[in-house]
Amino acid sequence: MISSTAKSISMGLNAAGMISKNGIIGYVHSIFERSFLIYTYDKRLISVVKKGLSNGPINIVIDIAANQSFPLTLKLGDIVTRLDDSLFIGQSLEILLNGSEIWRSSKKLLKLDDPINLNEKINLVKKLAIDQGTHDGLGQLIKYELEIINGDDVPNKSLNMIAKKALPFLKELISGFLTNNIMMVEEAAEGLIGFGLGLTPSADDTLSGIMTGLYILGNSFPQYKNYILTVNKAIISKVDGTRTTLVSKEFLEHSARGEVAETVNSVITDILSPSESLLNFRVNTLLKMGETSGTDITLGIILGLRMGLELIKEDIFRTIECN
Amino acid sequence: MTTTKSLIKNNTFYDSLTLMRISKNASELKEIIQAVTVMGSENNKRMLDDVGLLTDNAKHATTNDLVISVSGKTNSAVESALEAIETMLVGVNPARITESVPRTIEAALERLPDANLALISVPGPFAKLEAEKALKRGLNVMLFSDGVSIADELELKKEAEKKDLLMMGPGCGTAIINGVGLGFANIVQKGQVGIVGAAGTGIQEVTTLIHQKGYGISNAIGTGGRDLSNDIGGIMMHKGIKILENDNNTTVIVLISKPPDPKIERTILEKSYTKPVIFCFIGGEAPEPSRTINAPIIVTVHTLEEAAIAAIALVKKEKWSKIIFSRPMEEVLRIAEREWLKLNPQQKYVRGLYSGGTLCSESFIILSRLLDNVYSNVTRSKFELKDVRNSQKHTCLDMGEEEFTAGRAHPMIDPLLRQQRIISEAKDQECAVILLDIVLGYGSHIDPAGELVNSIRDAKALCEKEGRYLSVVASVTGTDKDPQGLKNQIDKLIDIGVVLMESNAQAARMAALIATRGSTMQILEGS
Repeated sequence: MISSTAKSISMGLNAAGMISKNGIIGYVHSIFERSFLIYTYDKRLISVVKKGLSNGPINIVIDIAANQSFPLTLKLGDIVTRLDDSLFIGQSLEILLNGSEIWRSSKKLLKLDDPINLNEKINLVKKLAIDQGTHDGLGQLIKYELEIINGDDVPNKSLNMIAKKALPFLKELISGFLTNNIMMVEEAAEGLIGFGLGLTPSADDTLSGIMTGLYILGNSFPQYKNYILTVNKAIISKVDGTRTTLVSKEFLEHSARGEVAETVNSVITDILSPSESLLNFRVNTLLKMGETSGTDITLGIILGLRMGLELIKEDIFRTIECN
Repeated sequence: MTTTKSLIKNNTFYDSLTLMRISKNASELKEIIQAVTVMGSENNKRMLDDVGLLTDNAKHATTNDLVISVSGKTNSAVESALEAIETMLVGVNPARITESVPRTIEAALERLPDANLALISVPGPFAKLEAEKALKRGLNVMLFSDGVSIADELELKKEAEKKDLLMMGPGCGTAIINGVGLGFANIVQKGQVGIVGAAGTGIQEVTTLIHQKGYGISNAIGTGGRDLSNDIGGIMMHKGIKILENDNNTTVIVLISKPPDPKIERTILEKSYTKPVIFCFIGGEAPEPSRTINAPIIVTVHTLEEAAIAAIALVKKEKWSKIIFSRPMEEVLRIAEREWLKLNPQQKYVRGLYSGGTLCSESFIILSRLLDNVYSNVTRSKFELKDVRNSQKHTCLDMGEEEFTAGRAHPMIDPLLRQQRIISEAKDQECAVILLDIVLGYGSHIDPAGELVNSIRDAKALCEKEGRYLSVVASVTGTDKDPQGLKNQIDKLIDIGVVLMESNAQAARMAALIATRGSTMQILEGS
């Protein structure tokens, strides 16, 4: 007998794809306070999250509130089966899929804000992250993002060990990107992947932010899209099961295609579009994501957008002049 | 000569802040050169290698394994540090990666057949059933859940009594059994003071103050808040006393409770004790001298801090004396004056916003002795606060009461309602002082001070904008060994101008001193 029922409110496009067919999908891989992960038989992850958590490409958001518990009988190894309109998690939980919305990462072409506004908005994000972020991972580097982009010296005496060790690789990655040196990008990524604390290590979160920032920006500039995809592919070519955790691997692979949680996506689109109005709120929400993850991703977003804007700045000016 | 050792915890994940904090705390231990805790990814192992912390067993760790590497000046220092890290990790719930977690008492017992205690935290309607199962299997029980009827509680406690087992709870939030903290307990050192308490944060305040002064706890047995009611008859208080009486590690017994039912109080007072005993019945009257109390030494105290001080004195076989403030009076007055000089004339009230119920009760009692018109939701007297959404004159609000926690986590876990209330109190032009408790330890929010500082800063700014000043007074209930780190929490509060006091009682007195512009000093000195 199934002990509990929940309703799926929304599910990411990738998650929907992974559970599209009737039959055994996989098993419960890990259980956290607000989510649990399903490891599918084709070695991918699906994240079942409580109401109030962000939509994401691999997320299934269910109507269990954040302060409610998952069923007590839910356990690791529970077999996950799709049967018509239900997803069964062992004997513990039936997730009703009927009526669930499909969420997809926004990949629309953005009409870019003018360069002065873009710069101001990135500076605002930087300020918020410095003031309100958690700087135990790579967050300490946000203050020095311009020095990192320009390859200048960063006073590293006060940096924590993680930030200190990651710094040269980040500089190398940016330099490789700006000089069209893909091998350099690969080498830098190799030094960063899986580095730092947590289930999604700090450097992975930053790489995720960089790749997503680049991807979304590149969407508006088709002439650079292929280059950006090549760079992102080079970064994730170094991702494997020995270099980082399974969860982080999954997130990085999606980030390379611009598929990230709504929280991350909306910060980037708010920075880039002229119509933003909630940037402050969205950045604060992102900074609260995970323990250090939100701040580490924010560093990535800032770096990714600065890198992308540096690459395409001639085109931006041209576009503005034409307008 | 440097020694380096690693501990590998397979398939284990802790959040990054916890790992960072544990590394930092471990690095500060005596004779330790450095300590790092990371997942075993290739790059993390390279970093360990760079700093000389990659041991042979760490080399074999995988991305799903937690690597704890420590280097120190001596082998024993490194061993002790690894042991300390293990203890720190015990207090933190790891996310589960591959190992299944038992979901029933039967399955848990299969995994740990020698276990003799079950901590039960399930929704109220299932709590009795689970507790019965545990008692039936000969396990002592700590029942964290509430929502159990008084009839069920009595039945469970009678059953436990019959089997000579402990039945702590329902609603037992804190216990320390043989050095292991359960529920909302703090990490304290082992020692000679044994406690039986029907007051969760009361136990926390006493145990942490004892620890901070370099002494320790043998056992702290929680009974649940209703144990000393006429209905239950103090079954577990009696049982707890018996256990401590027979415990060789306990030399002093402390009993903590809100005022018990008079009939039950008498049965506690009239018992025969072979060890010195301290009665701390918050808000209760001192036992009448005519009552016969058979014990080598009896001490009656009125605050949790006094209970801690008296316990230490009895352990040291010394006389104890009350303190009003830890710091010299001149210094206290200087701090208070610095605050009250910035207040406007219309600012005259103290608003205590509490996460701990016993701490709130204690402050209510202290403030009621010093000030007129103190209202609270912890009293059923004429000073009962009728509408908990609006403070009335001086107010002490227990935000862990049901009216605040229905449908949401306790304020020791979820600070949101307290954050909002700080702002709404700041908007009241008559509010002079906001009085707060910050409770650390297992189960509490990982950064309670951090969560409150933004609201305090906003509240102070709001007052400043309106030409007023807001004084904020607080105390932190915790130890240097708690996952949140006592110093780290204190620093956050001091940095934004909070007046930080050494105990909850002292914080309440300081708040009264500020709000009355020093006129309560006479009463304080008189006491």
